[in-house]
Amino acid sequence: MSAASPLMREYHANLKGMVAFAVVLVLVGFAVTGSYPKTMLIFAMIHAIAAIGLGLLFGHGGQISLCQGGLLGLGAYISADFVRLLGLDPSLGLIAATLLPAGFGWLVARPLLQLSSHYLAMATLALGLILSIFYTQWVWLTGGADPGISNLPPFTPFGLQLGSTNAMFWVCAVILLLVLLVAINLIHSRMGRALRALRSGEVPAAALGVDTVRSKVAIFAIAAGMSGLAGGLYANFTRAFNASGFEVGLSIDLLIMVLVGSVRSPWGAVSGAFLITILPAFLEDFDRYRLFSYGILMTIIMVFMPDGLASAVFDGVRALARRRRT
Amino acid sequence: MNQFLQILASGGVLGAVYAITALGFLIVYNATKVINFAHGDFVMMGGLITAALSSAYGVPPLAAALVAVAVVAGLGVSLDRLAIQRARRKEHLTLVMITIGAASVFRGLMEIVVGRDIYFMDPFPGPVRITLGGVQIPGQGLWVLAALVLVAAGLWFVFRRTLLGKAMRAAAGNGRAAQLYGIDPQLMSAISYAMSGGLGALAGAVIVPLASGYYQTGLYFGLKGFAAAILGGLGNPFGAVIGGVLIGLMESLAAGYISSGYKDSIALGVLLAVLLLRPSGLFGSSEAVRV
Amino acid sequence: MSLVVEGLTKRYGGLVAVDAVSFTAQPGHVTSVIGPNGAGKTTLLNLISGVVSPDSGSVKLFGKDVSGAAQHVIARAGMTRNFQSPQLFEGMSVLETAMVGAHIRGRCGFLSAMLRLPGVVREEIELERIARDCLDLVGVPKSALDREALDLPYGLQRRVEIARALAMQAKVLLFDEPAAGLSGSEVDDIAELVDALSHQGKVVVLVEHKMDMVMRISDHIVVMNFGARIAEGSPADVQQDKAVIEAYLGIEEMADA
Repeated sequence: MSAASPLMREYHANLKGMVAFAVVLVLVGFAVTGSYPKTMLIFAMIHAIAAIGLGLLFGHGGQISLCQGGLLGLGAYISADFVRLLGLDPSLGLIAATLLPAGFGWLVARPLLQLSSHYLAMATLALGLILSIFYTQWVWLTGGADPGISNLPPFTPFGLQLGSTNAMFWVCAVILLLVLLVAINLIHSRMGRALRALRSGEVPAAALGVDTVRSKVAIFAIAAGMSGLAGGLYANFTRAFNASGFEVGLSIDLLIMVLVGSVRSPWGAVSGAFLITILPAFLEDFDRYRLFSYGILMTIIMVFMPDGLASAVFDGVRALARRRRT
Repeated sequence: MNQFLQILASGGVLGAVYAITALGFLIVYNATKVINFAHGDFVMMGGLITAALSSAYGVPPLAAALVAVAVVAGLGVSLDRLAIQRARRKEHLTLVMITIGAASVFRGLMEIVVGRDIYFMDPFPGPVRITLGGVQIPGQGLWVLAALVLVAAGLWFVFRRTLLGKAMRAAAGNGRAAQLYGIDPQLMSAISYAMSGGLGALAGAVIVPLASGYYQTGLYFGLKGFAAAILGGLGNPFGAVIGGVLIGLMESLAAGYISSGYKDSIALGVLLAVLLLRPSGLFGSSEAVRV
Repeated sequence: MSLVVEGLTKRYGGLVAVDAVSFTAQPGHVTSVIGPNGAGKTTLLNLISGVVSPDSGSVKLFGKDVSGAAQHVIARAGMTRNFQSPQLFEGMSVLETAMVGAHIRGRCGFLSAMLRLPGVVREEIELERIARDCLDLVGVPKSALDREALDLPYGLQRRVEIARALAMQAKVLLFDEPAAGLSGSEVDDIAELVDALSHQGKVVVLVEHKMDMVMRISDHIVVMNFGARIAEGSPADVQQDKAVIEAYLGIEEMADA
C-alpha cells in the first residue's frame, strides 16, 4: 500500500473521520436520555441515510431526483407489509425495503436517464406524485390516506427486542455508519471517478470508455435503495404513518439537506440532514415559514454556491487561511 | 350521450386552462431553454390572489384578476433578475434547481401572506351558464375559452408581427449575434419571464371561480402544463394548445367514467409515457430531449 | 490492424457536412486530415469516434465494424480521441483525471466498490500507477498532480488530456487540433509526442491547422474541402496537388479581394 498516494491518504482520512463520528454518536447516545430529543436524532439519522443516497445521485451522478421522498415511502410500506401482511421477520422487511426500491429505481431509470437533466427532474417529480396517488388509492396495501398504516408491532428482528426508542437509536446509528462507509468506498473507486467525470462532461467520459447510461442507472438504483432503507427504518420506528409524509415536500427537504451540506461529499449530506431535521425544532412557529425559508435557502444556495453551503463555507475559510499565510 | 358531451365540454374548458399554462411555459422555454419549475405556481398565485382579493376584500373579479396578473408578472421578472441572471453557474442543472427553489418560495410566500385557507369566489361578470345542444357550459367557461383565443392570437401577433417578438426570437436563437444588433438578451429574458408570469396568472385567474384557490395547487398545474407542452412537442405553441386540450379531455373522461381519485395521474401518466416513448411529442423535433 | 473509413457521409438538413469520405489509417503512421475551415474535419472525427452517427458508410477498427456505435463501445474497441479544447473534468485533480483515462483497464463494478473488496484496492493502486506513468511520459511535473486540472496553464492542460487518452492504452488515437492555442516550443513538444506515439505502433489520426507541424510529422495526408476528400498522399504529393492549392489559395484570393 503506497502511503505516499494522496488518494489513499484521502480515503484513510475519511475512515478516521468515520471512527470519530462513531465515537460522537456513542457519546450522544448515552448522554441524551429524553425521548423527544432522541426521537429527533433518530429522524435526523433516517433522513441522513436517504440524503447520502441523493447526494451520491446529484453530486456524483449529476442527476436531479424529486421522487426520493416517494421512494422512502415505498420502503416504508414494503417494510410494514412484510410484517403485517406476510408475517415475516422485520429484518427481511428491511432488506426488501432496500432491494425492492433499488430494483424499481433500476427499471425506471434506464429509460429516464436517456433524457437531459430538466426532463429527468420533471419525470421524477411526476413519478413521485404518481407514487403519492397510489399510496392514497391502494388502500389494501397502504391503508390509504387515513388511517394509513397503524399499530405496526415493535421492531424485533430475529426475536431481539429492539423496539424502544433507545434501541432504535443504536440500530439507526449502526446502519447510518454502514451507509456512510459504503458511500465513501464508492467515491474512492473507479466507478466513483467515472461518475464525477460524466457529471462534468458526458462526451469526454464516454470517449474514455465510461458507459454513461449504465453508470447513471446504477447510481439511481443505489440512491433509491438508500431511500428505501431509510423508509424501512422509519416504518419500524414510527409504527404508524400514512401517505402524507412521502410527498414532494419530503423530496425537496432531502434536496435541501444535501444542498445545505455539500453536494460532493456524504459528510455534507449527513450534516445537512442533522441541521435541517433538528434546527427547526428550536424555532417557534417555524412551520408557517418552513416552505418559504427552505425555498429562499435553496434558491440562494443554487445561485451563489451550487456545490453546497457548508462546502462553500469551508472553501472560503480555507482560502482565507491560505491568504493570511502568504 | 348527453353526459358524454357534458364531460367533453368540461374537459374542453379544463384543457383550455392547461393550454394557456403550456403557452406561458413555452415563452420562457423558447427564449431561454430553461424549464421553469415555478410556472405552475404562477398559475396558482394568479388564481389565489384573484380569489383572495375578490372574496376577502370585495374587489370586483376582473380588477382582482388584473392585479393578480400584474403582481405575478412582476414576480416572474424578479425570478429572472434576482436569481436566474445572477446564477454563478449557468448550466442547466443549476438553473432548474433555482426554479425548483423559486417554486417553494412562491408557495411559501402565499402560505404566509394569504394563508392555508381555500378561497372561493363568484364567477366573472356574464351569464351564469349557457346551454348548447343540451350541454351546459358555465359562464366562467366562456371566459376561459375567450382567454385562450385571446392569448393564442395575441402571442401569434407579438411573435410574428411585432419588432419585440422578432427581437425575442433573435435573442433566443443566438444571444451574442442579437447583441450586435442592439438587442439586449437580458432584457428579452426579463420580458419573457414577465409574459410567462402574466399568462400563468391569467390561466389561474380564469379557472379559479370554477376550481377554488389554494396555495398547494401549483405543483399539479405545473406538471399538467408541462405535460401539455411536451405532448404537443416541446417548443411548438400550436402543439401546446392541442396537448392542453387533449389532456383536459382525457382527464375529464377519466374522472367521469373511471374514478376521480385517479384523474390527476392521467396527465402524469401521459407525461411519463411521452417522455419515455416519444419525447418529440406530437409535433416537435426530438433534438434537445435526449442526452 | 488499421482504421478503415469507407464512404462516410453525414447530412444536416440540406447541408452535406461529410461527403462519402474514405481512407485508411495504418498503424505506425501519422495520418493527417487537413482542409480549410468548415471542410468537415471535426464532423469526420465525430463520425469516427461515435459522437454522431453516419447517414451512410462505415468505420472499421481492425476489421470490426463500429459505425454508429456508442462512444464507450468504440472506446472499448480500442479507439480514443481528444477534443478541440481540452475537455478536462471539473473538480478533479490531474491525477484523478488521468486515472479516468485508465477506466476501461479496471474491472470492479459498483457492488465490489461499495464493499471495498481486496480486488478494488489492488485495482486502485494499479490504475494510479498507470496514470502516473502516462503523466510522466507527457511531461507533466509531479508537483501538478494534486492540483485541479482546470487550474493549470493551457499547455499543461493539453498534456494532461493526452496523458488521459494514453492511459487507456488505445491502439487508435484521434487528435483534434492538439496544438490549437499553443505556440513555439509547445507546438514542437506536442508534435514530438504525437510522432512518438505513432512509432509505438499506434494508429494516429491527426486533424491540425498548423501546416509545418503537419508536413513534418505526417506519413500520409488526406485533404478535405466542402465535406469531400479532394486529395490524398504523402506530404510532398499533397503540397503539389492542384486541387489542394486551389482550395487553400482560393481562400487567400478571397481574403485579398
